Amino acid sequence: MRKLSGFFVKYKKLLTLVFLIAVSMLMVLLSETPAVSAVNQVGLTVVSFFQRIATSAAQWLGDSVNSIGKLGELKKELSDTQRELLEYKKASQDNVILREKVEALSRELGLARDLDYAYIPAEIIAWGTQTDFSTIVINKGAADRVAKDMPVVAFSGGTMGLVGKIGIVGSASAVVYTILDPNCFVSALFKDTRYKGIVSGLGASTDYVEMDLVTKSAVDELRPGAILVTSGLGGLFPKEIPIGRWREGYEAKDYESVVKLRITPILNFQKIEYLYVLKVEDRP
Amino acid sequence: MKELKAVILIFLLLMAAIILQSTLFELLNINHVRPNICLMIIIFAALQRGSMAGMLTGFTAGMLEGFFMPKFGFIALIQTIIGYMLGRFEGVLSIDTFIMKILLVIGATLAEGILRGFGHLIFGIAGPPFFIFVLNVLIECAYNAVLAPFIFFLLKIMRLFKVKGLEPV
Repeated sequence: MRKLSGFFVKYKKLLTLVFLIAVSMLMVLLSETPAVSAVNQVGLTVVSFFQRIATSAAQWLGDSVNSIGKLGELKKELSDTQRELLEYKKASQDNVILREKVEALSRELGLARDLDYAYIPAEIIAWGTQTDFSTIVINKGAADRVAKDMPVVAFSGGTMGLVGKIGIVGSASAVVYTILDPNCFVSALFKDTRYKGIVSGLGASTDYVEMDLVTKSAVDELRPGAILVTSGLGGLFPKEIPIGRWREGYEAKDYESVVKLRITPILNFQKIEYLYVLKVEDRP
Repeated sequence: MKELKAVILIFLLLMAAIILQSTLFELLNINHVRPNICLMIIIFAALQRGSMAGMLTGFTAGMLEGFFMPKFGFIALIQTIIGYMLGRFEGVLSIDTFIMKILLVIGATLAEGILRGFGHLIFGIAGPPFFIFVLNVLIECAYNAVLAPFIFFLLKIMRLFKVKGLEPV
């Protein structure tokens, strides 16, 4: 017994390392199982609570800094007679900003009404920290009836585009695996020519995705800018959701019968703010 | 009691770093790459307190980061190994000089990148293509190196890793 405890004391660091590596590896290998998912969900719920606070604080801070900046400028020009005028201008400016915000929201709502599916509107509260992947944390979770694998869309310049799918669900937040993520695969086809393929991302630092397994002969019929939409195969993503446009060029080895195409997403992921989680099963 | 307080404070520090990285630092990204504050905390913990503190800090940071990643546990695995490896240099390498801070951060970021690359291959986890991956690691190296003196200074004045008893003897 003493020998055993002596062994543990002597190799304490190494044993701890082995233990931590084993736990991490098990988590990786079993990451799709309910037990590990449950741990993940609890963790996400806790961390995203603070992320939400941080995002709100950042917005408040940004607003405050802007206000201070504006006040500084105003002070320089102030005189007794100008003050009222400047305050009026500021009030008017706030009014314009508010009107613009209302218009933007109305536009979003108007576009969202056009969706064929029931949806859950959501806002982004955080982004994944590693560029190898591409994930977004949203402020809606199991409490809002968000579930794993639900498709997520957004609007950009009046056009709807596919964002990705729900990967992990916490109680009041969820993680979206975007189409830029190398682990998010979407069955897609070209709107005009109906050539099919599989779309997957290359990580957060790229502004394009790749469409693989496209028949080589498709390249002759496709034109740069051709629109790619979801095919609906597999039942995960609804049909005809725009994904992106084909950039010119393709990758293929001589002996292969399929090609890999580079696709520019319809959405600019840097600019999206509001997302819509689609309830596919609740189609009216 | 003191060691428990230190452990809780380090956990909170890691949590704060991850929340910052995933929210505010998105605004400071260069080609979507953000500075890795957690890695700097791991380097600091490992070189100040040894391999035990290094790997425990790495594991905790990796677990926290993994909550919003496709493969839970992957980052924890990488950062545990990094923490342990850096801890082996406790007392050998010092982070007191400006140049050492920068060199250590660059070295650790490169090592983390290489381990991550191997991890993708071993576990079959899809990742970015090689050239994009390398570019990202290099950008992260530069970004971390620029911030390292400032972050290490903050960690030093916090005195969190100076508390006796954090690492069982």
